Amino acid sequence: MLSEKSYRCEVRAPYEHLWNALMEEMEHPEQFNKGILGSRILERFNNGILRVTSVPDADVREKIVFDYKKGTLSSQLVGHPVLVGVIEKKIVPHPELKDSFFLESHIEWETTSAPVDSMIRRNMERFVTQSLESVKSTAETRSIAAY
Amino acid sequence: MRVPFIDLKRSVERIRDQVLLDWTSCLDNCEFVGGPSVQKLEKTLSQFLDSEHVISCANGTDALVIGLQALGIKPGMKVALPNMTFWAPFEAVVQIGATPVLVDINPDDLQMDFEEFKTGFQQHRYDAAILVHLFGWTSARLADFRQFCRENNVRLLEDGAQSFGVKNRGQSVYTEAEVATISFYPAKVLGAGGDAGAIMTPDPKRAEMIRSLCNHGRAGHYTYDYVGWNSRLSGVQATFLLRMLEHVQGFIDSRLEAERFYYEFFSQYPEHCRVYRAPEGVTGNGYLIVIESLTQTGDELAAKLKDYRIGCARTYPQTLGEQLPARGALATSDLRHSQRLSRMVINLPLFAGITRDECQLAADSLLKAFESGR
Repeated sequence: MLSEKSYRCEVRAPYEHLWNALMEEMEHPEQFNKGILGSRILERFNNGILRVTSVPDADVREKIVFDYKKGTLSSQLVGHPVLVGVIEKKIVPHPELKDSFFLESHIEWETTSAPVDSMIRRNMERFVTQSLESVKSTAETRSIAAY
Repeated sequence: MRVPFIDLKRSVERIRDQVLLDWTSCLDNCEFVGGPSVQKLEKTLSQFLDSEHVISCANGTDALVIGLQALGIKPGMKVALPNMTFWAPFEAVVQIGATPVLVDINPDDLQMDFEEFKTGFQQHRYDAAILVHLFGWTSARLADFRQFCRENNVRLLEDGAQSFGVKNRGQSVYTEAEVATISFYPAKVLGAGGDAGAIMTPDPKRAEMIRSLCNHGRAGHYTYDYVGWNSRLSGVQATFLLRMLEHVQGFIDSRLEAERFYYEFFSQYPEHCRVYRAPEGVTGNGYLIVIESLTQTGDELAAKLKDYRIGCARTYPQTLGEQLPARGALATSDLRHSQRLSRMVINLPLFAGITRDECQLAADSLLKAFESGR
């Protein structure tokens, strides 16, 4: 059965800064999330990458596809033995404030293993919000520095 | 009046204007392979067919080959399949390098015979089986097939090319299948504007593998986890199918009404023929009207109907085992029921939008053909 969760945070920075922070996170996720021990890019293609990230007890492959115009970045798990899942990130304009955006993250996963499902549910929020907050912080810091 | 065996224009005209707009949008957005419309179609089909994961592919035959591969079927393994069906399941087994074992049909529901399948297993020890949900319904023993295969480690692929909308005990025929396939060939109950197909499974890991197999076995863009196939759907086909889906229940109702008419008409003439439809507990989709002549052969009747300007078909005029590339294939019996049906079967016009007058004329004409004798 498919499970899903959504998170979002407000980012006070221009689109370019936020997008660049997302691209940096794609290239070096370990710099944005303490739960990631390391990463390596296996393949670069037109609109994305295939990377492997090391988390405690496992190496995980992800196919990441991005779309600058739509402000989206989709990270799909590849070849995990018991888990399938995708993390969709999206930049949404703030309805009132100029140079402010919401960074949304929507996670869907499905697993054949109850322990894995329980582990995901325990750690998901911390794992995802840490990445979002790091991206937000990077974008906003650059924004302040630019002024 | 001439009655065609099938007239797709009557379905297509319902969606023509919308499809032209959709196709313009596909061109504008370059939705040539995959894309948002394909994703939307897969989600819509998943809901409609009550199947957890639906992966679209290029056609129903590819769906069978990839379905077998996803079940772990390898060269040298034995795969049981019904002797009476379209050629594609046989092709799929052979293309994988496996060995087909032909099983006769049950003379009452015309699907692969469960008792013969079970007995044949003692001799042939199949590794897998393809259960074809044929003619617009499924086997009365569907639950027995599934249970037997689970208990004996026989991987079961369910070929639902003809069974869109079919229900077994009120549940979609695709829901509990380990792996099921479907064809969207234009003449099917849900037809595309060209070749198209899909594979269904409740298992998320198998779904991921199938999706990869359909796309060259890709993990990244030039990184591969499997030796797969190039079998993907375009936005053009997906949008066409999405529009067809909006009308498909009406199409099925229309087919079932025609089927009911023929069934009631020919039930009055048991001396000439036997008419088949879904067994008890199974809800059919009116894909075909299957009439078995008890006197003249199907070919003789088809020749007369041609003179009366009534379109007809003979599904299927030869069994798999009678085809040249299948000569000498393994079999579980002398396959007599399927061979007899192939000689005697005749199908009258049946399609979405057929009128009562057309059905009446077709039925009267076949009756005339019966009564004119040999």
